[in-house]
Amino acid sequence: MGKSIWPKASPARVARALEGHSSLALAVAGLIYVLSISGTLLVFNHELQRWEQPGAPEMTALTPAAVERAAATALAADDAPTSHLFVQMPTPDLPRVVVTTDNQAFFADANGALTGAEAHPWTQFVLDLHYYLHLPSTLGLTVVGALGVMLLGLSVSGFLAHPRIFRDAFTFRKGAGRLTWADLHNRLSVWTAPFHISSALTGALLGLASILGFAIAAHNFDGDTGAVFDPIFGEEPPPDEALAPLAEIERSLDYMATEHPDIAVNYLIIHDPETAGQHVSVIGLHDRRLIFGEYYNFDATGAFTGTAGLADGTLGQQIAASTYQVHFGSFGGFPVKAAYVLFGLALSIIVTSGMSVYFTRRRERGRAAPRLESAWAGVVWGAPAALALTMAASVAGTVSEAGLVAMFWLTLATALVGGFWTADRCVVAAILRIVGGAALLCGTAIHVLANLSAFSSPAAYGVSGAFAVIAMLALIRPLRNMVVRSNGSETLASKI
Amino acid sequence: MLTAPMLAGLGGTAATVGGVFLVRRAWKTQRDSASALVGGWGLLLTSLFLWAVFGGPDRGVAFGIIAVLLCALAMLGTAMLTAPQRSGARISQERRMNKEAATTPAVSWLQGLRKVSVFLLAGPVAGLSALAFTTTIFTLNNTNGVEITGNATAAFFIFPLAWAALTAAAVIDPKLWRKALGVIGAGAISAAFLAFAR
Repeated sequence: MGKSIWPKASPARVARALEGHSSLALAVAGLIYVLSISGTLLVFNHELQRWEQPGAPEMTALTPAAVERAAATALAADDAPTSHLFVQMPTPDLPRVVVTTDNQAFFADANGALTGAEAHPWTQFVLDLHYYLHLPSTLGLTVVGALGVMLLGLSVSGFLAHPRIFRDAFTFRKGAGRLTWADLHNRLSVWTAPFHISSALTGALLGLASILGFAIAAHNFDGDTGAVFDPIFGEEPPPDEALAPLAEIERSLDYMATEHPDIAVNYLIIHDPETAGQHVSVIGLHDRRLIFGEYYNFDATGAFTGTAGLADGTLGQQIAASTYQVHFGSFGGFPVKAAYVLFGLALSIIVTSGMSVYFTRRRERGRAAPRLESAWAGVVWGAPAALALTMAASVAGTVSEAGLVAMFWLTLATALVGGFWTADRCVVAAILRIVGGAALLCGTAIHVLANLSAFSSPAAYGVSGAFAVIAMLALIRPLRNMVVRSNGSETLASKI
Repeated sequence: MLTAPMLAGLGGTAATVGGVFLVRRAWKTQRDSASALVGGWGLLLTSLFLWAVFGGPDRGVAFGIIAVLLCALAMLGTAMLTAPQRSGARISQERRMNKEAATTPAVSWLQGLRKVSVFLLAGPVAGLSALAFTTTIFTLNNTNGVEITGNATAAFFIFPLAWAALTAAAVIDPKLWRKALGVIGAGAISAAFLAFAR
């Protein structure tokens, strides 16, 4: 018999790593799970934005003159001064024009006329959940970044705790209780490792960049954080607040069309609009690259002043500019988004199956923790149910954006406490699946009724259809079991 | 008409499938499978090159990695669906144990304190140590004239990686004093350097 290609691992080291892996997971699994499902949902955040307002004007392109008209109208409509004006140009996954000031956001039509206010409160609520866990901005970013670090730590300790993880990379034992959960956890962990490691690393990087920037600046640049970030993303010229006519946006866009016809314009930003110090940045999308775009800068007269160098500058700039698309999965259209959703679901299953392994092992050792297990089921099924409830409340227009935050966390807390109190994970899971599925179905139905004129719009039916399918999947098992139960053949708990 | 990138994409797909298949065979065999392993990884590396031709130097490689993951998940899914069902003995044993629902033994205050200490070490203390360590690395590089964008971007990656490494070390090491020494020591040395480097 030949020699094994696999190195031997010390059983003591493996046991220590496994214990460390378990304790770290116990501490952070709930919040990582919430980030995982919200992140999975947000892969389609542009589609969700469109779905919330399916009747908004859509187009594939906008003339430079129309952009200038839209910007000027938005500034004129703004009562308070604004430091920046953003024009979101139509892209394949968000074929809309949105003009945003510091104070409000408007849709524009193909002629550059403003057609109404942009508002996607539920998508924004989910974005805020994923970026900040609804905490104040820098604190929230840092906490989310720290959770990314914990996920990285779990990956490291997980690989150290499972020396056979590659050898058994395709092994699966079906119907073997804890071993089945362990196989599911380990197999998905190995095969989605490049995804969850890169997502955790880029998420941690994006979340922790602010505090690291402060620390580096405090020690090296007398507290000037611009000295850390400006060399990468470009520097803003000094402001001059004297009043001036609006910058020559049309000339800037004409330059892009003439000099870079192969580069699609994604965003147009006017810094300090209608002041003597105003200048324009155009974000151009570079096909076949991971970078989120390149800043093409113009002065107020529309004269090109240079690029930031994200596309062809230093390696550091190009890598920094690539982290966003790697994290959000927005670099390859629908196929990459679909793959990211699959990997995001896999990460959620990794978290839940890992906890199942832990609870099953406790049961096998005679140290069952039914209350904790049931509380965990409350988190697993309560988080999607809370998201579905907030969606239904948002489309019904009954709850404000701040109300959605309270609604989500109260629902999740109720599910957790209720789970702990009932001490029956199967009943908790069934109830929350029914609540979540019903809320999703109701929310979708309300959305259809509220947007009947735009029901057939591509912005509406894709997401509505997906929500209806997810609701059915959530409902089918507990409802079937209720029917079985009502026939008296089996109990609800024994079936789920 | 097939263009060169399209051909590269087709070749990349074929190399991905072949590579994952060979790696799977090597890992399943477990013994004397070096040739399949080398062949498998060789094909996977080739596939990344072909994907780069298809989708661009950086984006294409990302496409290639996604293709490898999807292919492996498809093979794993097949393995899950076709795996034979195990006997119900283990499941019924598990259900029996569930019904017993033994209570968790009480945790002593000393054990509780130890858990809180490990949590603090692995979380915020490791974070502060990693922050000091990363700032030190940046400062050293900056002093030695390393180009600023590369230095800053490297620091952005080093910080979470260093924190994760300290966290993993803190939860894995069985001795509390050794955990504390490692985590706090890394931060203290870095902080001392920063204090003297001012």
